[in-house]
Amino acid sequence: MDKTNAIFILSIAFLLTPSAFANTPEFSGFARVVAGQTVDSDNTMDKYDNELSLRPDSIIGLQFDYEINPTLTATAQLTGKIDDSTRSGIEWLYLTYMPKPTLQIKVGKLRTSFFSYSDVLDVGYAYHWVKPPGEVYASFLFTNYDGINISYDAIHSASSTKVEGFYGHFNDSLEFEGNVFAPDVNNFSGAVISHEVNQFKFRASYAQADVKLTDPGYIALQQALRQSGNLEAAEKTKFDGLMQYYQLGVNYDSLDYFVRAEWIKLDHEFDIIATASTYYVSAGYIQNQFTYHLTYSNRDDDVQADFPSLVLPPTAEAQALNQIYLSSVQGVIENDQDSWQLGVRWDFKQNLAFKAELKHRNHKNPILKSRDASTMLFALEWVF
Amino acid sequence: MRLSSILILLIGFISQPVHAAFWLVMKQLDSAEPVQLNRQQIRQAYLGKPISIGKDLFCTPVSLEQGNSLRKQFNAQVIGLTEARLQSYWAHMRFSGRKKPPQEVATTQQLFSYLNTKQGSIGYVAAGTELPSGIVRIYPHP
Repeated sequence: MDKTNAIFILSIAFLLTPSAFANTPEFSGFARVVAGQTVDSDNTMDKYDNELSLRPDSIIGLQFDYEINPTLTATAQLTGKIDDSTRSGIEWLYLTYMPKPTLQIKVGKLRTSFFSYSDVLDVGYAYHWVKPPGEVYASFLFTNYDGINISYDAIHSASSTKVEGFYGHFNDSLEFEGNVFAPDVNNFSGAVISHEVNQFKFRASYAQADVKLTDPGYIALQQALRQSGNLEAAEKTKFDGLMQYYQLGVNYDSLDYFVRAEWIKLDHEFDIIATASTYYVSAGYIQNQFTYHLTYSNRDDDVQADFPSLVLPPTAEAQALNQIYLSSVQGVIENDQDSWQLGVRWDFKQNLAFKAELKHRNHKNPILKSRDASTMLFALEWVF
Repeated sequence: MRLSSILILLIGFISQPVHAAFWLVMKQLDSAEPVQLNRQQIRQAYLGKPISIGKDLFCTPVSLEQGNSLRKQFNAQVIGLTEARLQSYWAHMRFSGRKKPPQEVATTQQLFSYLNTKQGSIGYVAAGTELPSGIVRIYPHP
């Protein structure tokens, strides 16, 4: 969200307040300290290496809720991370209008809700893992958007259904497999439907967006390929088109155990990245304050591209272009992988939990086989 | 047996009323029709779902404070979640901007006072508790 939008939302909130700060603002927050390292390997995994580190996932967040009137609330959520390569700052900033308890309209900077936990990825207290399965919850998906979200609850005598729709755009950087990109994401839209009956919860969502990469290096490569007459290569490396996400999820919660599963399909019009089909199945057993859990997750990529060789004159500039092109397309491989996570969560005190988790990731692509690794993670989770 | 028959039997089994250690109570409404909620509706209300109990009137659930033994029984019998799982659920709801946990009170007397001031609010007390005038039991149905 740019500063103009942020100032606009804050101004509206202030102007709509009959007497500024007549109601008491509510503050709440969350914090997590996550320590981890790889086990018996020199490979890195999820930004952890063979030295114990607090960096990638430790975070603190503060939320401010202010009730302007009984139907209108302003909310801001700020986060700060130890890891300076990931973004800190305003994660949420929006107004909520609730004309009746079954209808909720949010406008502003919002978190995306692709997956069951994508809107609370920073709030470790809200889930049982230290890290949700990366095969599914990859950071490739942008976490925020500027726009509108409308949700409606339909309540039946023995069940309930929630329908949610959203629309907006995203113009910020995002990280994917260690690289930072700057895409323009427009016409981001989608819907989520969830249905709860007894202890079961079913969820299905669809989202799509027009995505265009705007990084200077990528633009220069596209221009050079077109100017040199390599139009097919330019078309094959194009990153400008429709992206679609499909999600299905099911949860079963009982007093002493739970089962969760989620399946995601990412589809798009590009050849330069793989399409992916991913899922996880997670089960947990609860005994007093302890939750023991086991998760299997899987990612199955599909690469369709057959990248052409460049036709270039024998000049130094042309050879440099060829090198850049080859390094781009050689990275387009099927990153098929699966992983096992075994963990325990100990809710030792009100609003405090300690977690430990061992994870092993196995790459199926022979080229990536040497990247197999395990991590051991510990987390202290706090909400206040 | 057809799949639909199995599902109906399964849902029927899960929805069986249990012997409740609590009564769900509220301030008597002016309307002639008594409020009747089933266990599933009570569960939904205590998970923040908007449960209608009259024209333009929705339930406002009230809980006893964490650590209270009746609250533990209520969580186990009605919501079907441990206290830790429930707090985890509310962290998800609060920090995704969806809803907030029920108002909490320390004692049954504070609960009765709250029910008298907030129309549509519901709360639970130990089964057999003597109810003050104007407070009525809505589950299990008298």
